[in-house]
Amino acid sequence: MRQEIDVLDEGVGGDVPPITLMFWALEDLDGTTYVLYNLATGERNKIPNPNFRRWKSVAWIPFTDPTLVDLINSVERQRENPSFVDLSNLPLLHIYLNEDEEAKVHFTGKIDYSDYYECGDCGTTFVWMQDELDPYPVCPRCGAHNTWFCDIHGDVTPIFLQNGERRCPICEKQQPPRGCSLIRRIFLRTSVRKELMYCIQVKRGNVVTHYTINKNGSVTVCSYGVKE
Amino acid sequence: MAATVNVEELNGSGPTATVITTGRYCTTDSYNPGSDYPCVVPQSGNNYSYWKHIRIAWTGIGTQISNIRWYTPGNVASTWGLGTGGMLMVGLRDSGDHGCTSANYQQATGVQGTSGHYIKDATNGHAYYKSQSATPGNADNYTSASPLTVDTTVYTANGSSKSVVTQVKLATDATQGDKSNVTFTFLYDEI
Repeated sequence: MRQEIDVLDEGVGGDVPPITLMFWALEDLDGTTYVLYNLATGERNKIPNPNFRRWKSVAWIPFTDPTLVDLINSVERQRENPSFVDLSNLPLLHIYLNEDEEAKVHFTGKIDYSDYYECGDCGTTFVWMQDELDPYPVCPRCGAHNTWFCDIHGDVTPIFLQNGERRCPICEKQQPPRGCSLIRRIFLRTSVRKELMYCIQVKRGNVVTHYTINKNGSVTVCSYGVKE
Repeated sequence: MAATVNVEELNGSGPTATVITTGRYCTTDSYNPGSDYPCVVPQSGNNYSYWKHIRIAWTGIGTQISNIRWYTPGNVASTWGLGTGGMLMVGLRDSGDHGCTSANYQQATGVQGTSGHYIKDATNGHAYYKSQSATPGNADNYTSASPLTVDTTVYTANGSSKSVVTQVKLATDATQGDKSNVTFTFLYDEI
């Protein structure tokens, strides 16, 4: 199986942070509200407490106001390590806590690093899974593939020996045996894909319930026990 | 607001950290061996790749980065055809974080072009892991449902994490040639 891919199709590879699509908001017991960004200036705010503690409510809020997005991004452009935001239709996640519950909010970063193949002839990038129909990587666009070359007989399908040696099948019959050279037209590369997820953890006694919104807007909830 | 986080490979005696762009398991200590020094299927016993130190590094940190985990798709051995008992191995500690600290980094060694030294080799293995009771784990056991705990340190400044140390173990019936593509994943919490 082979499938063309766009290595940077989401603009999240390379040496940049992923785009932030939501911001946290925390409502304290006395009604004071803390928000990731100053909504008037676009400056970042530090979280008052990154650990579990009592809150009245906690939330992840999607960016839906273009003016706020522009304001934050204009501030971020001035930074040495900018982190840009964008409009989003992700769902609002707002949790009101009971008196016996504590909560914390955080991003979870996910970095996938994958290898893929790049065609040296046409530049197409693709992933390949070996199967009976696709025993070796072939460019899905131009059909290029790695070949083996014998100085005497040209392109051949070599005999693979367990010690890593590749021999020309024709020379093998005619003697003396002769090795083949690999003509590489398909190259192995590594891509990096970054994603942010938006998480709330609610702790009640020894049980933590973990809410996560991923980039596609799906919310997963799981609970697990913790040691005190 | 998110930090810029990259995946790095460590090589050399220094070590030198390089953002991964052409990572592959091979039989030399190099982040970009190209087609040279491929892993060699053994005629008997097992061969190994040189071990690799892989970590994440970040700039532009907000308040903190913590809870760093790593996982595989769970089918690396079969996807790469590593043979009977072959696997992608990962260094494990008896307790605590399984990631290797910078202070305990050890350059990968072996017989260049043939086999790396086994992480647990009593003489030439990785000093941070070889004296542990735990044997190197099968990376296929660490999936999104049960990732490897790499580093539980709470970082409040720009820097890097402990490293996942992995190496490929090949059996005599491993398959030669180009390998299917595989994805590895780091997770971390950030605020």
